[in-house]
Amino acid sequence: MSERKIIHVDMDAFYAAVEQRDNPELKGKPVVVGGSDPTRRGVVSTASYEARKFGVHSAMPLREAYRRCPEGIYLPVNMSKYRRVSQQIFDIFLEYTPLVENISLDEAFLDVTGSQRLFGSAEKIGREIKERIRKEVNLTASIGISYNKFLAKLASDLEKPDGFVVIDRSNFKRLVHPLPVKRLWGVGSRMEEKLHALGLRTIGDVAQASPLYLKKQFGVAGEQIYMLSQGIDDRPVVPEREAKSVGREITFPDDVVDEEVLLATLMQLVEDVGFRLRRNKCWGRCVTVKVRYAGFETHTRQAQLFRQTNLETEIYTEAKKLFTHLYDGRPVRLLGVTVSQLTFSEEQQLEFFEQERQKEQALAEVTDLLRQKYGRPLVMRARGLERKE
Amino acid sequence: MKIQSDKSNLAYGVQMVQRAVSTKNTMPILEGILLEAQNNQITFKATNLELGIICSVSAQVLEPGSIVLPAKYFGELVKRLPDISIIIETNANHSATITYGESTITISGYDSEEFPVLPEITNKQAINLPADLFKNMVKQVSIAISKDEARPIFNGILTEISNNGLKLVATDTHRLAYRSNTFETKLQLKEIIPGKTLVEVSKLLDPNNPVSICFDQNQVLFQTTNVSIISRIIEGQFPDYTQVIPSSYSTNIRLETRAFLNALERASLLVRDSAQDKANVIKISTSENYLIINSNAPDVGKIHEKIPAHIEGEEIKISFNSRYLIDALKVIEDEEVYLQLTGSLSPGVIKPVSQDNYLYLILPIRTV
Repeated sequence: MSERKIIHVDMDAFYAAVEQRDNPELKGKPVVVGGSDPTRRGVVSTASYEARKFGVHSAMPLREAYRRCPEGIYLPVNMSKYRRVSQQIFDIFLEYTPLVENISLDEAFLDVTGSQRLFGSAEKIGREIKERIRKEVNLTASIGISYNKFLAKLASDLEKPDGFVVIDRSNFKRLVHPLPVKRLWGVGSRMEEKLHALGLRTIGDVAQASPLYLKKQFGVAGEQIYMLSQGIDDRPVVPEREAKSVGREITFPDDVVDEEVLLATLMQLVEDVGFRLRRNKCWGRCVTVKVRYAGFETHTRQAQLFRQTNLETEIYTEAKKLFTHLYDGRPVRLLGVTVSQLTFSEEQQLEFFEQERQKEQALAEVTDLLRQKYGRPLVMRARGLERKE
Repeated sequence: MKIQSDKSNLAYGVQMVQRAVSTKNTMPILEGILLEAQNNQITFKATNLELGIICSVSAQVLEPGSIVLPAKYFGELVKRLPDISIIIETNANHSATITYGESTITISGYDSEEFPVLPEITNKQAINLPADLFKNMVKQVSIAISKDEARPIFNGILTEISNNGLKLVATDTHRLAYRSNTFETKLQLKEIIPGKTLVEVSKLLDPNNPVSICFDQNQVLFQTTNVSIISRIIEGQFPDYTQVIPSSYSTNIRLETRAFLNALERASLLVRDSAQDKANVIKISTSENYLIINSNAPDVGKIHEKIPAHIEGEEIKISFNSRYLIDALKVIEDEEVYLQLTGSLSPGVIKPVSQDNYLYLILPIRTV
């Protein structure tokens, strides 16, 4: 088997960069995306590199950011815009390989092992992607290329922003071993402290430690960091589309007997499942409903739809039928809905004589946008509103 | 019953009705062929309760009567009989003995009384068409029949007869095929005939003879010289297809049918092998005097086709399932076709350049 070639693409200060791109007046200025009024509650989503010089970083409370950088330009989060730009970037990736794992709007892994015959070496593909993002989207990305995910991600971070780093077997030790242990996947602040206490400060230190000793100290996590320190990481690049099902369940704080409440909850669960299916461009054909009664007795029932869907109305119609079959009137502790037999497609074949479905779809697109923008369902079906809080 | 016939007549009759023999083992007798002998002819009948076929051939009837014989054995046997005079004679226990020369074979059958009665069509109002024309119409329309059994109306062909002739329409909701033929008739009706029936009918029709079609309640009857085919029709309301036929277009592309088809077939070779793209998506665009086809399967390869075309109107970029385009181009005999488009989200229309009796609508693929 030929060695894997993984590319990690990480957009530089993505949200802030998009805002700077779209408003030339913001170029070269400290831009903080997170909220337009920094005296109010909120956290920083992204800070431009100019703002970072003031010590502003993401996940910092806005008020703290404001204290450090009062001259900063504070902007609200425009999720739908970032999503659109992100889509544009991901479309470029998909031209090179179907194996794209999106970590977030601004970060993705690409497995280009099989693409090299067609598009040239991984390095050439990486350069091309970087160049196309610059030209077509007018943004900069940092690219890391290596023979596994862990190293590819490390590589993209080494020369950020606008970086391009290839880690191969020949430069691995030189580039990776001096890095601090917290750069190992899975090392949080607690583990970092403990490693420091053991005298292990760099990845190179971990590489020289005994794997048995690490295992004794940290269990499975110890084995893992040892492997990573040796540059070993077998995790595959998994396109999200390969998920087998999308589901959501809820455990009630108090057991519920009111069927109206249960159905309203079911609608809410379905809305969430529908939203996630659509976000991942998935369509499913099998609906499963799960009911757990007060005594932990659990029942599930599933049915196949005549065509694939990701629309609430269609999922709910089936889910309600299944629930009605299952439910025997006892107090319910947990309720769940899952859609499975998924197919992923970025392409949707349009249909004749489906005005109803098209309306539903248009409606879903609008509610999805609102939900993405405001982070919670802002518009919901009347059925879902009935649930007494 | 006792008859004497030559092998070829028997073989012809069996072959004609065999398509209606049931293959589902619900009622054993439906796996048989009914033989009825009277008035110097032998009539073969078979039915699977959806589709029934009747075929009569001449024979020397020595003793009138009837019997049901299992199609599997009787059919295979008849094919293998020597080309000499054959005698079929029924026995008391619902079996038949077939004598050919010095040899005999006895096959167990069923009581003909138990065979379902094929519906009688009493309505005498029929339309008559040359069989080859009707076959061609069915061929051009049946490509759009839905294979998904969830919605039965889309498994059939809408057959619309009005004072300006016959129209056949089929759709699987992704594409729609329409074919008309103008003639005068006083009949007025709209029925959905199962696609499977029409495909069978097409195979059985002798292109040199006319076919007559008549409807009665829930049945349709096709008749030609010595074969009658009866089928149930599909109940339900076919959607108003006239609504979806575009009345105008913004881009009109005229190109060679063969060149277009060949390019599409090459382009879909790549996509077909790529597991990621089951839909065979190809991108079509225009550039001056060319139609451009692009298709990209990241793990297989990419293709760029440039076909000379006459293009009027707006430039366009649109994605289609190439299989749907290929299906249509294969049944159009014209050397040139029009591809008429209105933006990238409205149905495209394919039609032959020299005729206006055929229309094929195809909905594009939207990238989400």
